[in-house]
Amino acid sequence: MIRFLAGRVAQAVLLLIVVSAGVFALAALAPGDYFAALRSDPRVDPAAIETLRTRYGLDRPVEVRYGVWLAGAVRGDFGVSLAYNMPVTELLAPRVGKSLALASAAWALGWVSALVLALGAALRPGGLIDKLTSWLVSTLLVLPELLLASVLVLVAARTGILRLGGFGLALLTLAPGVVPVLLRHARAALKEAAEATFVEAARARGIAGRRLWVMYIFPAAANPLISLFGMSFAGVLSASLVVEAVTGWPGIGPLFLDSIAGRDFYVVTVVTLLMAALLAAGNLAADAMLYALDPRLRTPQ
Amino acid sequence: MRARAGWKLAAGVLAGMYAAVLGAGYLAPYDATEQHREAPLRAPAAMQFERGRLVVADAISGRKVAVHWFSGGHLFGAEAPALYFPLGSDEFGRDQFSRILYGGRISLMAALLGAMVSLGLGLAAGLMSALGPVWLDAVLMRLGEVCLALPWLYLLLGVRAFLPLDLSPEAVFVVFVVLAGMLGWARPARLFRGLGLSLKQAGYVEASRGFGASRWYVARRHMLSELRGVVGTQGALLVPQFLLAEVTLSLFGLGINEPGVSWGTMLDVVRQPAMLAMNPWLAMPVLVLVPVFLCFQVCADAMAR
Repeated sequence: MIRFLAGRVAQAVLLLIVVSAGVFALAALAPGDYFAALRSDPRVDPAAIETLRTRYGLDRPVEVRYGVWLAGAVRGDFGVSLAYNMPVTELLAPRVGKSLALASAAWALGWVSALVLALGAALRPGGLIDKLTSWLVSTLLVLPELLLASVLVLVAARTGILRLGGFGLALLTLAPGVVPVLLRHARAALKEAAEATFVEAARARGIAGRRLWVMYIFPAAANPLISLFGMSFAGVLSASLVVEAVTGWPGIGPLFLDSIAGRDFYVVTVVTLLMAALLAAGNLAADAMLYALDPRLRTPQ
Repeated sequence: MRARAGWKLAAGVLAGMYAAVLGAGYLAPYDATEQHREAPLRAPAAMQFERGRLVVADAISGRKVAVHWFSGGHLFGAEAPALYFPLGSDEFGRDQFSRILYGGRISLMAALLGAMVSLGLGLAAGLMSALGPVWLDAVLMRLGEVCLALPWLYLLLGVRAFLPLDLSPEAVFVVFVVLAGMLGWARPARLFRGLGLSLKQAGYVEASRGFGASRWYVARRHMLSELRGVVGTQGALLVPQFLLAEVTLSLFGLGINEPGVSWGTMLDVVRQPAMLAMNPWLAMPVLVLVPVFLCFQVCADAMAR
């Protein structure tokens, strides 16, 4: 177990280093920087801009900058936001909390409703819930989040039932987009497990009811769903970016978009890395759970 | 049988949409950038039937004027100086209907081309991984992992962050297609690799190899024909995803920008709640996305079978 996880952690760290190097390489190739706007302002002395660039280390070659940044990052110093003139970690910390709160709430809501509905559908194939979920999946899948966002923002602006920039509005916009993908997979996994030959064999031996579901069907259905666990969180984070920016929830989404437009380099880098780290952590957690639950992974082939 | 008919209908609707946006020059009553400052923010207005002919209310005076068909190089319109905006106008008095058609040209084409690039790269990488030497497989799959290391939208935005912001609409179009194509190849590539590996075990492929067929021949002759359905399904799933990516990027001012028009640029009204609350029809392009998504979904389901 330990060795397996250690290997995965090492892989994830390596991946993060590659991603950060990639970001720095891209930045080196990119035209213009944060000071481009200042430079076009005739009232600003070019020498002053050069001083600023030197102070922030932007005049040094990219590999040196990367080395300095990496050495700092190991100690928890991830650079400075040029637009806000404060350490990136300080700038991001409260926003990351807000984003994570929103994303995890939507994600948890999505999983719970998906699992409950999928179970209802699998318990009675062809029943009302089965038909309802099938309809729900195909409907929600084709409704773009932006449509929901527009409608809810409209409702919020017109009636004041929902507050713009509030948690309720953001969650209501984000959650319905999470459900269909999860529901579709949960439904397929449970159905497949319930129709498997070993379940039939168990039935033939007289095992039925709760015991059949808990001991036979759930463990078999869990496998594909756990792999989806980490990945689905990444999906929620991606969707959350748009939802935050549209509904005005003060998470990392709006900040990230601003920092791209403003060429606030270290903020872009750190947010990118943070996303990669979250995704890696999600996949790692899924791997660990699979390893703990699925005996096939533990026995060497 | 029913599913088959649905599939044909969906494909027909999509073909019609693509034809409509390509024929925007004729179907749209106005140019996408033509401003009528004297008639801003008009609500959508339907044609009315009156005394045996179709009439519309002039957007400036409100007087009823006859609709002109097939004149002046356009399908329909009100005779100047009267103005007719079937789906309303924006704050500069630009016709929303015309803008949706011209904008769809950019959005739908960018999504289609981006998906094609992605699919082509994914197919090439997947089959090379499955059939090629082990080292190539390792290199390609590690590269793919880097592309999958980030949530897709963050990846696209992260790379977009380092391209110039003030690009012309044409340049953005090309950049989007190339960028989305290059960043989106990894997931299809993994799928194709897996399918390629299992096909490699198939008796007829092994027999073909035994008769001395080259890898290239096997890829072309056996795998491509076998994978046709999966490629189609993947394509039908990728296009809506790329469409959404274009809309999102443009919505936040990182994609197509003024004076270029796409569904994303039109939808930036979603970020101005006050404007949206007063003039909800400005968010119309988002309604157009629904049938597009639906049709692609139906096609993907049909091909997956």
